[in-house]
Amino acid sequence: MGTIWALARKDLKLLVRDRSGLFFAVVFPLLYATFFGYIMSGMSSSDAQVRGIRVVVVNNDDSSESQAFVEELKQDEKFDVLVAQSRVEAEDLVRKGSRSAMIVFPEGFGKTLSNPFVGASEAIELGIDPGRSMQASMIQGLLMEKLMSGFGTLFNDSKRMRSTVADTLSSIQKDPDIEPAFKFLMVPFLKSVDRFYTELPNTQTFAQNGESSTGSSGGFQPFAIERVDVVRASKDENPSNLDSAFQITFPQAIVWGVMGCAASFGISLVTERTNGTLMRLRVAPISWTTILASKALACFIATTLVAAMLIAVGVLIMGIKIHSFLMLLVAILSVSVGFVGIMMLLSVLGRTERSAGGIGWAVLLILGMLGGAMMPLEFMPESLRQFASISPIKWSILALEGAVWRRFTVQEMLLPCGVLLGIGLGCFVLGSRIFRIMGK
Amino acid sequence: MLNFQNISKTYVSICAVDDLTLEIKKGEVFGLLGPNGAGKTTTISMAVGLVDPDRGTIQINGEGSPTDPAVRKGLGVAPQALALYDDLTARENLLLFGRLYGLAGAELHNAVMRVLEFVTLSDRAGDRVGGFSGGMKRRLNLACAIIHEPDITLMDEPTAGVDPQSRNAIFQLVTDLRERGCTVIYTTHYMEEAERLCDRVAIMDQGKVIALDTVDNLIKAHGGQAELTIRTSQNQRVIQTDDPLSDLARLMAGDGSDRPTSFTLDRPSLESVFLNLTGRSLRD
Ligand SMILES: Nc1ncnc2c1ncn2[C@@H]1O[C@H](COP(=O)(O)OP(=O)(O)O)[C@@H](O)[C@H]1O
Ligand SMILES: [Mg+2]
Repeated sequence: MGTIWALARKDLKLLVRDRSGLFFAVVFPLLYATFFGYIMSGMSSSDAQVRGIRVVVVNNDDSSESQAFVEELKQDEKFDVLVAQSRVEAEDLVRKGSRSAMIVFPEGFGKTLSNPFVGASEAIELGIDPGRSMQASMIQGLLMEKLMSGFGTLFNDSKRMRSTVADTLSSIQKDPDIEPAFKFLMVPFLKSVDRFYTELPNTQTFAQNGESSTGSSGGFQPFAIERVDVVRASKDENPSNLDSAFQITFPQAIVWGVMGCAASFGISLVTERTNGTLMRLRVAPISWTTILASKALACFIATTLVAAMLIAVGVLIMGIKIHSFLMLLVAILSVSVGFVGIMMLLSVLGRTERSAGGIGWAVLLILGMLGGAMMPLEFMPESLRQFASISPIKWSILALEGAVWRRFTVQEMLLPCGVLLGIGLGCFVLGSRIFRIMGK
Repeated sequence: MLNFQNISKTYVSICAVDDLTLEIKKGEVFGLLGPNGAGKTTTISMAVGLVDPDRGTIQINGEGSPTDPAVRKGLGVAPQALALYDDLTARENLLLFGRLYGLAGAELHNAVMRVLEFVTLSDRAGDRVGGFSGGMKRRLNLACAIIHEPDITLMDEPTAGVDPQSRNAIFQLVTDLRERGCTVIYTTHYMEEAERLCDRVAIMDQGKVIALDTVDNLIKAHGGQAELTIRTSQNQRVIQTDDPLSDLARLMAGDGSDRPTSFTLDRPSLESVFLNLTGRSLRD
């Protein structure tokens, strides 16, 4: 154990003295976390370019109208719709981050659709992934826009429509052939249509400011959208989970930091192989296991320290709220184990320092991009997102977010942490085998 | 001390070491002399357990094979490729390698001081190795090999790429080690080094030991005759001889125009031994 520690200390010392290694392990993640945090905080919620927002829909209304509406939602490029059978199932999908939002259409929704003037049905429930809470208004706005667009063709140009309504109204009132009973019904109806158009903010307003569409009074409100909490209710009074963009960028930054550490130690193994120090270690009265275990220990300590440092900055300076420090510790340790394995595999990717470094970073960047280290998975095109699960970075971010704000239960933490431990052990065994063969 | 029994090692198609049998005795400085590619490094690598021989056995101190970490404790290796951490200081390198051999505490620190003194790097102990000259690195490479006072020190081309000053310091080091009773295995392709330092020399070529003996015996057996060049007042001639001293004495005793006015003597060297044995020069 003494020799393992002596070797690990040597590696940590070398990391601290290696400027580029230190940059990728510490400086870049810090810059990433703060810089992108600020950018995301200021990001406008109205984004006309949105596509494929991943929603899960629960339709509690069995009318043909509501089914048609769900179909229409499916056709819309802005949404990527999955239909769930139950609210519980839908909630679960959102909480675990595989869907950005849950939409529950209440019973009677179809009736409101076919005739918006009968008044609002029960509220449509919209549950948004706390990780996307900055996009919540946008999603709500888009949904409202979609709801209203059913009438869009009819009510497209409110001025023209108002004159049509006025014409119809006067002709009905003038026409002696029309049944008085029908007049009795139609006149107030057409008047209310006229009022609707007077008061209706155009649909664009809904899209840009969805928030006000729920609470504002006086406007035309055929559909009520109620925002519901999809995250596990917590014991503390404040149920809000994701209250700053830094809660997203810091887990990402941790992943960048551990990638930096893994790359640095992976490359250092190649360096030791090429410059002869590995030979000197092998000649010493210590075993292969000791040599590789010391590298693993150094990498593990470095990744854990980098993660702890980033969390400390996040909590103390950026004011990030952490759901569970204990789970965060478990998540960080799992991530570290995972990346120790990845480090070992990186060390056999190239014969020379340069090739291993080049190939290693290329692989890490691809995995990072796939796994959501550059942009949240929810924003990525579906074609890429389906590969996310092969990336250990996805599982790392999920584990960290689960502890920071997704409020995972212990059972829910098991999956990402288990995957990371599995990746770590698997890659380490495979990598060290190949490394020993290459060392001969 | 160190026994090779019918050792062979083949890399893909190249037979690097071919049926080598050697016995290195306690306290001697043993030279492995041969041109590049002769198989010296491969031999050293097998002796320290880095490379497994395809055939044959290696015994160290009668304790067993060097693939056993415990047996390696008594070995010190200065590899041909400098094996140092450039971003650590000289002292940190020594502390690390000392710890790997089980040294600790005051014993370790004393050992570091002692070897730094030994290779005259005490004043640079706190500097990073990356900034050292080739000669300084070579000396530190040696210091790392002997920090744990091994019974057997193996030095693979310890003077490669070294300035004359460091070279002399390394010679002095080998001499000191011998005086302390250490066993040294020294590989080189410089025959002067082998002649100057080694008690016994094995001449290697193409994976085989083609001759093994003390330097004097090798020269006597395979060096051929000495060349005595005599200048008289009239001419100059070259005499091939086994006994240049008595030849010279005989000529000096003569008189007249045959009496030498000056002479030069070229004694045969390990170079001529190699030339006579292989028909090639050591420097290819
Ligand atoms: N790892 C290796 N793979 C393939 N061939 C090797 C390897 N190491 C040495 N050789 C070959 O074995 C022969 C002996 O090499 P080496 O022991 O390094 O000689 P020396 O140290 O005497 O110069 C050379 O022909 C060399 O090319
Ligand atoms: Mg060599």
